[in-house]
Amino acid sequence: MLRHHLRTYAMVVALVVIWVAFAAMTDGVFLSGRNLANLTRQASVTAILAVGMVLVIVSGNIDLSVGSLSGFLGACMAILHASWGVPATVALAMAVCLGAIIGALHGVLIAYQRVPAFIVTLGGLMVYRGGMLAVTQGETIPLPIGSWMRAIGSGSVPDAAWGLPVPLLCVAVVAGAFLFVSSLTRFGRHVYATGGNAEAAHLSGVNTRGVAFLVFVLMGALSGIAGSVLTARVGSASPEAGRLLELDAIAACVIGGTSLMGGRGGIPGALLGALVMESLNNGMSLANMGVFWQDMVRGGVLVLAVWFDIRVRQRGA
Amino acid sequence: MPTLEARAITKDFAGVRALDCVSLRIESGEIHALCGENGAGKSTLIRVFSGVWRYGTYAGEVVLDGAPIRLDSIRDAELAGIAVIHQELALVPDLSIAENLFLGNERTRRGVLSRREMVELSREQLRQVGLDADPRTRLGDLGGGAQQLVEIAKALLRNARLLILDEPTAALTPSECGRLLDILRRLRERGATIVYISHKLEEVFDIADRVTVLRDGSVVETWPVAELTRDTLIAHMVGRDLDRLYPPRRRVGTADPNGPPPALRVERWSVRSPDGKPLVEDVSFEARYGEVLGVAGLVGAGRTELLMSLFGWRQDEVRGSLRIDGRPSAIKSPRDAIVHGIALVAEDRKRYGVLLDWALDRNISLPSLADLRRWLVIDRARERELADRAVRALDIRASGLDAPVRTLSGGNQQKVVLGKWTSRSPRILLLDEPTRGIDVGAKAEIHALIDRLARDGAAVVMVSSELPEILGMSDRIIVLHRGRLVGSFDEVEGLAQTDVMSLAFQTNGGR
Repeated sequence: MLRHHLRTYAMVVALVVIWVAFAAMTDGVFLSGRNLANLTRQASVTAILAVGMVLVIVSGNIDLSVGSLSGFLGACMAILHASWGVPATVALAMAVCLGAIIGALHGVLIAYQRVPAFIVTLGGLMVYRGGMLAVTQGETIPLPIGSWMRAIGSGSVPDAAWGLPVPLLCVAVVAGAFLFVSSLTRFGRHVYATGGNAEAAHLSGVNTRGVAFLVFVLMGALSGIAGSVLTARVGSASPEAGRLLELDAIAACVIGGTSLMGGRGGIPGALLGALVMESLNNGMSLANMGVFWQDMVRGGVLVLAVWFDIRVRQRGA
Repeated sequence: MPTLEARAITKDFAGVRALDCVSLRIESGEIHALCGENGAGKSTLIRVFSGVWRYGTYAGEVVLDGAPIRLDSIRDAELAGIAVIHQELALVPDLSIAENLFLGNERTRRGVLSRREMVELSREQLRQVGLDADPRTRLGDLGGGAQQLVEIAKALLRNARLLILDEPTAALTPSECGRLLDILRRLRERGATIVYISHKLEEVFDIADRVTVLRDGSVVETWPVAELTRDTLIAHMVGRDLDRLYPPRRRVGTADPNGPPPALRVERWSVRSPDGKPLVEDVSFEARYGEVLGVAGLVGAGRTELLMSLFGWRQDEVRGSLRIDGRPSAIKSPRDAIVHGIALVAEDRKRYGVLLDWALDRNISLPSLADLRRWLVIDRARERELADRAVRALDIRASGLDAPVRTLSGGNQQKVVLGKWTSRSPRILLLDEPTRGIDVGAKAEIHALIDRLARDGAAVVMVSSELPEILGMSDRIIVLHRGRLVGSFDEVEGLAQTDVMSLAFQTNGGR
């Protein structure tokens, strides 16, 4: 119980400290309505990936490819839509399907061929980065002006200054669905069992390989959604899109209490974690800190979060 | 030579009193057995003696050679000459015996390891514990008993004068046990003082000079072993009379060739490890409804591999045919096995049986989730009902259905594993060492449960290394030796341990 609270407090305190610090550094611009709306839109992409990453990590795996895969899928969607004239909905569906297929490929290699997830997805990270350069040919591909797709990134519901940003609604739908699956269904229970003790789970009739496979399929599909939201928010697909998003997603999970040992974690925590990570990114840009600072802080925060996680668990044990 | 005393030691954990004013005296040069059910306080007491619980985290005093000592760490205890040898060994399988003996204590000359010196010293030390092995052998290539001896040699090398052995024989074969006990006697002759903890009462009577019984955190009394009998000792540990350890045997009519086919018929069953090592070879047997089939044999005879392979645990290559109710059945995964009404209670419950961090109810419902669904959602009310039934049927003692299984005692954890399967009413029940490391009271309860399941018509196949258990529970017995079936007994009444033992050891066949 105490452990639980300690973690929640730490997360809230961290968020407040970050917000107050950036508000001070930016003369309050950080906390302006405009920036907060912007922040939510940015955090949405990380949040969608973090939601899938929770299941990946809980099942005892890791996915390092989600950043470049969502960049790649976002670019594919943009090309289908902008250059080939495919309707936005179809292009989006195709990106999601392609993501699921790539995820299935990861799943086969990891669950059935026993190649460590770390290696499969580290290789994937490079492959999709190359794929992105190939499909974009190194150029930025803008979405057509007035396209329905742009509304996904920049629209609000209702369409007013106080409306909820559409990306936030995407997060709500995705997180709701995954929260349902992870906490109420047999598949969800099996994911936690597989990560908690794969051998005991297998001997209890859990298809542990099937679980790992499906988790990667879902992660791939979510990369399609996240990539499309990313492209829609920026208004274009660039060859650099999605860089280091995997780091933000993994850090969001860990900050939110998902254990890298597998078996423990939850989606609400990961959403808060995504907000923490994106507040850092947004605040540092707003405060005009150099890109090198931003990279160093993001990396440092990841390590710090894991360290904190281990310390808290040790104290509790 | 040392004497060790506990004076009025009291230790609390979050409001639970683990030790209540415990006083006892270990005399120099004796083998002193500590007996008690799980949770009686033996482990806590050892942790006090070995410095795991720091001085000051408990009330009372530890007195060594007449003088109170202050142990703030395991290192302090080691320096005082107290060494604890645990059931789970603290050795590195990939290092050699010599490297293990000197681990953390390496001999060097100008910063460079002096291997030859360490090997020579190791040779001497191994002679002391009667282990005939080259110190350069990789530790993992030794059997469990030999590894235990290495652990003892390591303690002696660090000038341990007082050895505390915690369930040292739990993972050993009968012959290895015998050897270990011989070595302990020899060490005693040379003046070592030994505290011995074991659930195996035969060993206690075999080796101990005096016995202290702990119950519910208090010392019941200390007796010279000659003043106790097996029954009185059990009664002291349990605090009540256990009239019998084993339920009265049931009898099943001999197999009727015209009757229904047996629950399980295994023919020419062979299992090979991925690197081609034969684990089970050409084993054929049958198990019938309403009976307990005992599977005897030494550790490493292939009993566990046989059970795991029947349950569809395919890490190994399996050949042979399997008939359930006379119908050929292909079981490719544990899930298939479960669908066929088979259940497996595996040997190592922490590894294969439970999710330690999960609550009781979730552990019990894991194999049954498909039946507990309403549309897509797990019906929590029915899940808790299922768990609650198992808790009551097996008398699982826990603070509630939400208690993490980690917080339960070994016996209750084992009951959780049993409960998760019995709530599915399996027709075929495979049990691998169902009472290992469990205290006497829980053991009798589990025996009664197995008996009840067989009486209710299940076919039970039970592997056990404890011959009294095999003889006390089985209606028929098969014996494995080095993966092969070397004998079977259709009549258990009047059978002596030595009859089974000589088959298991294949006394004429070498080992």
